[in-house]
Amino acid sequence: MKIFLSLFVAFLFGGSPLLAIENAPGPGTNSSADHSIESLIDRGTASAEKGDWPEAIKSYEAALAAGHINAHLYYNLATARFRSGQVGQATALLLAARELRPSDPDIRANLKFVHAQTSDQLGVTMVSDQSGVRGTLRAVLGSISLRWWFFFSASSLALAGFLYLCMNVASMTLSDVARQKVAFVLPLIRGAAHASVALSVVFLSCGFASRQMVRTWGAVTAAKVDVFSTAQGNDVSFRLHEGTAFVATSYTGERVEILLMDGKRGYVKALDVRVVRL
Amino acid sequence: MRWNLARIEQRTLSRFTGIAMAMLVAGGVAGVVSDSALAAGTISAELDRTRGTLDDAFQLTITISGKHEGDAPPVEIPGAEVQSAGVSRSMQWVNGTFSSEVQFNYIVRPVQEGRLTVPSIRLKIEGEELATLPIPFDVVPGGSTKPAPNTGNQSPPSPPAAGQIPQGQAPPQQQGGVPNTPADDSALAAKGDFFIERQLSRTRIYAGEAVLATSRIYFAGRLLRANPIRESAPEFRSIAVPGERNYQQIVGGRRFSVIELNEVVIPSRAGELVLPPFAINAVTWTPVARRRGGTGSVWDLFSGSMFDMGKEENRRIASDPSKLTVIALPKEGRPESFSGLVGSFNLSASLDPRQIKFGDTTTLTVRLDGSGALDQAPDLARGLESLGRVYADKADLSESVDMATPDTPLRSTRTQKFALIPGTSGSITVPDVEISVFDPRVDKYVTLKAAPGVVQVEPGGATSPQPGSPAVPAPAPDAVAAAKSDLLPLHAVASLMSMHGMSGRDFLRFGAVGGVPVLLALAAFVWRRRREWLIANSADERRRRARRMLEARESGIREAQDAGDSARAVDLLHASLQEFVGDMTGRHARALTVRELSTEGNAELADRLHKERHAEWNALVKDIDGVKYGTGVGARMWTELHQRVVGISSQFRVSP
Repeated sequence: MKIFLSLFVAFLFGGSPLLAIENAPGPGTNSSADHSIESLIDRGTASAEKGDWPEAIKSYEAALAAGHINAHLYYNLATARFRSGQVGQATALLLAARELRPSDPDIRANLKFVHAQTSDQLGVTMVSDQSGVRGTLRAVLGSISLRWWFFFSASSLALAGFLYLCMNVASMTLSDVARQKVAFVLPLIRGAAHASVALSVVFLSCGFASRQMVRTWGAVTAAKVDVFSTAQGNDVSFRLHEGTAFVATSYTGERVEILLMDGKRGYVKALDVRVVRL
Repeated sequence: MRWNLARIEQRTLSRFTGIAMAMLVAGGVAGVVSDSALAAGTISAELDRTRGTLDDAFQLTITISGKHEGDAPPVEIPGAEVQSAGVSRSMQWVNGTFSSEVQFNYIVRPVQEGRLTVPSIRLKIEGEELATLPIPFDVVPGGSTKPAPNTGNQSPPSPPAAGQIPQGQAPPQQQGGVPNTPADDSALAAKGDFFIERQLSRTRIYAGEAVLATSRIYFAGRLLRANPIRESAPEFRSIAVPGERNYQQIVGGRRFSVIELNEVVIPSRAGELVLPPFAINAVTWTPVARRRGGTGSVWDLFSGSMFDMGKEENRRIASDPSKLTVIALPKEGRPESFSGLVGSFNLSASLDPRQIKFGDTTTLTVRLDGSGALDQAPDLARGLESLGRVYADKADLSESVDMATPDTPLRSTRTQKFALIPGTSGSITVPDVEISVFDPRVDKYVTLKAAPGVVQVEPGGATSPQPGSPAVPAPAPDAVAAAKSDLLPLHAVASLMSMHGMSGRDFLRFGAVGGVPVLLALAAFVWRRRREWLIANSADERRRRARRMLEARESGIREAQDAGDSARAVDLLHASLQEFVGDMTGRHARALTVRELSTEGNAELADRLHKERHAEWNALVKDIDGVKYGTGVGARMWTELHQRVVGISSQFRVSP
C-alpha cells in the first residue's frame, strides 16, 4: 500500500510537468500563437485559395515579419510568389522551407519544379552536402526540427527527474521491509534515470548542433545580377540570373556574400536578392 | 647562521670564480684557434679586364686574406705606369672564425701596345711566402676596341631568357642607358662610400608606354640593412621586377659592392615628367682603422672598446630624380573605338567546342598578348548578346618583364573567357573580336581583329546542366504560366500555425518542463539526506562532549589516587564511564546498568567499525563493576582500569 502511495505522491509532484508537455508549447502546436498571426495566416490562405496572390503575399509576409517561423508558411508564400511570376522569391522561400522541413515531399517537389524554371541551373543542393561526414551529419540532424530536439531533451530530463523523485520519495516513505521488497527495482530505476539524463544531454547537443548547421538560403530576384569578387570593389567575377539559389554567408554593407552550390563565392547587391534568415 | 651565510657566499664565490676561469680558458683556446686560422693567409691579384687601349686605365687589385700590416706591395709592370689607388680593409667574424682582408688598388696605364703582363707579386705573410700568378693583358691602339663599362674581370651572370626574372638572378647591363665612362666614374666616386645611381632604358616615350628603370646601390663599406622607400607619383605606374643582381665594380679606383634593382615604369600622361628618386633607408657599418704598433695578435682587436672596430650609421640614400619626356598619343588616325592601350599586341580568339546541342554552352576564349600594359584593357566581348546568353568570366591578366628587350620590357597577356549559350540552333557565326591600340613601334594606331569562327548548334538540346555554367534557356513567360498548374497545392492552415523555431519563451517553457521534476527530485534528496546529516551532526557533538567530560574526570581520578582513596577513584571511573556512554547515546548516565553499558558501548563501537574491541569493552565494564563492588579484580587494579578506559575511549572517534 505504501508503495502505491509513494508512487502516487511522486507522480503527483514530478509527473504533472511531464504531462504538461502534451499541452505545453510542443512541436506540434503553438498555443501561444496570438490572434493577429492566426488571423494573418487565415486571411493569407483565404486569399490564396481565391487566387488573390498579392493579398496572400501581403498577409503571409506580415506573419513572417511578426516572427512566425513555419515551413508550411514559407511553402504557401512561395506558391503565392511563384504564381505572381516571382521565381527568385519563390526559390528563396522554398529553400528556407526545406531547411526547416528537409523531409517534406511537397516542399521538395515544388522546389524542384521552381528550380527547373530558372536559367542558371546551378542546383539547389550544396555539393558539400551531397556526401561526406558533414553531409551525413547534416542529413541526420536536419531530419527533425530544432523544436523536436529540444522537446526530446526536455522530455528526457523530465523523465529523469520523475524517476529520481520516485526513488527519493520511496526511500523516505517506505518501511525497511517494503524497501527490501522493491530493492531489485531501485537499481533499474536509478539506471533509467541516469540514461534519461544522458539522453537529454545528447538531444540538447543535437538541437544546438542542428541550429548551428542551419543555413541562410537565398536566391536572385533581379533578372540579372553582377557577382563581384570583393565586398567593396566593382570587379565583376560572373553574372547570375533570377532564381539562382545560394547560401548567404555574410553581410557586408550593401552587399551579401554568397556561396553557390558549386562552391563559388562572390558578393551581390542585397537589393537584387532575397535572403531568408531562419 | 651568519657563519653559514658566509660559508655559502664563499662557496658561491668560489664556484663563480671557477666558471669564470673555465670561460677564460675556453676563450683563450678559441683565440688560439682563431689566431691560427688567421695565420693561414692567401694573396690574389685581379685585373678589371684583359684587353684595352692605350687610352684606357686598368684597375689592378691585390687582395690579401690574413694578417698583413705592411704597406702596399710594390708593383712594376714593364710597358705600363702603375699608380697606387688606395687600400681598403675589412674584417669579419663568421661562425666563430675571424678573417680579415686587405685590398690594395692600383691604376695601370699602359704606355705601349702589345701583350703586357702583371708580374707575380710575392709577399711574406705570417712567415710564409706567398705569390700571385702573372696576369697577361693586351693593349691595342686607342679607339680599336669598345671597352666594356667597368664590368671588372668577374664575368657577370648570363642574361636571363625572356619572361619572369628568377629570384636572385640579375639582368644584364643595359644598352641605351647612361654608360659609366671613366669621367662618370670619377663623378660617381665623388659621391662618397654609399650612393645610388638610376638609369632609364629610354627617356623619351609615349604616354602609356613602359620603360625600364635600373637602380644601382653602390657601397664601399658594409651595408647591414636596407629598406627601399617607394615614393608614389600619380602620373606613373610602376611594376617591380623580382630579383636583384649583386656584383662588385671599381669606380674611380675604388671597389664598390653593387646591388642592382629594376622596375618597369609606365607614365599615364604626356609632358615633361620627373620620376621621384629611388631611395633607401640603410644601416651601414664603417670600419675604424686599427691602431698600429700593436702586438700583432688577434687580441689587439679587443684591446680597446668593442665599438672601436667600427660604427653603425642610419642613412637615407637616394638617387637623383629622373626626367622623362612623355609624348602624347597622336590625334591623327585615332579610331573612335581606340581602347587606350599602347604597345605591340597580338589578338586571338577561339571557340570550344564548336559543335553543341541547343541549350549547351560553348566557350569563347579571347587572348590579347604582347609588349605593353594591358591592365586597362576593356571588355572584348561586344555584340555577342545577339547570339544568345553570354556570361563573362573574370579576365586573367599576367605581366612579366623581359630584360632582354629593355626598350620594351613589359610583357602582358590578358585572357578572358565567355560562356556562350546560343539562342537558336543551326550554324552560328560568332562575330569578330576587335580592338584598336597604338603601336609605338610603327607610331600609329592599329586595329587588331580575330575571328572566333562558327559554332554548330544542333536542335533538341540536352537539359542536363553543366556544373557552374548555365545550360537551360530562360523560360518564356507563357511557359511559366503553363507550369504554374504543376505546383503542388497549398498547405492547410492548421499546419501553418505551429512554430518551428525556438523563441526565448520556448526555451523557458521547455526548461521548466524538464527542470521542475529534476528540481523536485533534488529537493526530495536534500530533504531525505538532511535528517541523516542532522542526526550525524548531533551524534558527533555528543561524542565530543563525552570525550571532554572523560578528560575532565581524569584529574579527579588522579587526585583520588594520590590521596589513597581507591574507592572514590573507582567511583569516579565508573561514573565517568557511565557519563561517557550516556553522553554518546543521549541517555541518562547514572541510570545505565552494567549490561546497558556493555550493549550501548558495543553499539557505538559497531557503528564505528571497531567490532574487534567488543570483548575488550565488555571485559572493561565487567572489571570496573567488579572493582567497584569487590566481586572481581582488586582495588589495586584501578590504575590499569583507568588506562584501559582512556585507551578504549579513544576508539570512539568523533568528527574533528
